[in-house]
Amino acid sequence: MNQTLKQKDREILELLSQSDERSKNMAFRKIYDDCFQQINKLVIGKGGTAETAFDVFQDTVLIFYSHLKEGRYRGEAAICTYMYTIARNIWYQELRKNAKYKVDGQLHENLIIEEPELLEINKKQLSEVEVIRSLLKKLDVDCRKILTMFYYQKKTMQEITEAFGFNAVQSAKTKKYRCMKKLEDLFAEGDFDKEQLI
Amino acid sequence: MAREDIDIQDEIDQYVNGLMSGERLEAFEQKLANDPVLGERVERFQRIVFGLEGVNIKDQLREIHIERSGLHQRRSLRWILPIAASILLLLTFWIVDPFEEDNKAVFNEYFKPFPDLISVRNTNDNLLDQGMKLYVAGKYEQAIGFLGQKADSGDNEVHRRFYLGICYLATDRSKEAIQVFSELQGVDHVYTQQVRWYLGLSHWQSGNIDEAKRVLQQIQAGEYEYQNAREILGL
Repeated sequence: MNQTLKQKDREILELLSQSDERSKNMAFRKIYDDCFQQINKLVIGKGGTAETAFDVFQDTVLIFYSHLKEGRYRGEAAICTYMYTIARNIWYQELRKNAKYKVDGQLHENLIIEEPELLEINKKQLSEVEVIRSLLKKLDVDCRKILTMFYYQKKTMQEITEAFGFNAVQSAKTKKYRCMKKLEDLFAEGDFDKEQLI
Repeated sequence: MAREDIDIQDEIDQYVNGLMSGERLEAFEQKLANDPVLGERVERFQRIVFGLEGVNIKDQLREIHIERSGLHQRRSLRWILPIAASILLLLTFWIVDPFEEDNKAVFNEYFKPFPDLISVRNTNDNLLDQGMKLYVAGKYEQAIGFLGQKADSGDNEVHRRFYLGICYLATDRSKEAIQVFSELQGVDHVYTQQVRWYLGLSHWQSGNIDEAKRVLQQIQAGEYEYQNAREILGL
């Protein structure tokens, strides 16, 4: 990690490096408090609404998170600065492709997307988040909980066994296997609303 | 389903989560190179796991956004509060207990019904869904009629009781709210942090300020409504 980063950014990275949900929650609260207003101003200042500004912010955080996990963000810039560049690229791309957004009656064909590599492959990843959301609705409530506990909250199989009152860890593993397999199959079959990918 | 299927999924989990190292990692990567079907599955697995994380991160951000937006609105009106409280004090000093009015003012400033985060998750529970529709519409008295009944699925019980407690708070029924939140306290569930905050507010609404403070003091840094709890406690 780059030692020139400010203390608050180092704290965020430290929290995000923890796997537990509580640390991640704290990190996202700090990110929201530090960076949201800047992105909000950017989007609203260029023809967006409060709702679209929040959408851009959410996508920006996801891209930042993915870059962090892939080792593409290494602390070379402050977190908010890095996220601002991502947000600007997302928003400029949206402005260029969507004629409904105009500022002072002008379309935005000439907006320059800086560092476009910050955006590459991420559009697909972002749309797949909503695909997964829609597929999760096809699973039963227990499956949704188990998958969230295991893959997001990073709970161990032992903790899941206790939370659900399974007799043995193996029973929890079997249930988790079935839930994930079902999700994999649905995903592979493309059994989701196609408009989610648009 | 064979035991072997579960073991393969275990292996993929470990690989995707970066928990594999040394010879096991090398062996698995070798297997990936020689088995395009497995390679495809791992790639799909990674996309699904990112999707699962993404759904939860987005939900968490929305929750923070709703919470913070409410806070900003309350803060922007905060300058009015001392004036309003003074006027109220002057007007009602001889007929009502001024401390009780102060307590109500504090409660009204900080109480905000928790956002509806479950309807979007498709609860598959008719009573709960009906109750939540009324809850979102601010019809708390009517919502109690639905949320007061046991949920169709045991899994939704925590959601039902949590939002029922908030309905009680919103309709000035602190005694019932205290009962609901006390029962939810001490059990591990998704609202553990929120319950602490709302139980504190329930005691505050009931006028038991000492108990309210005791509960609010338990809220730790980084937990739900930590800053507001500190403000109420005058820290």
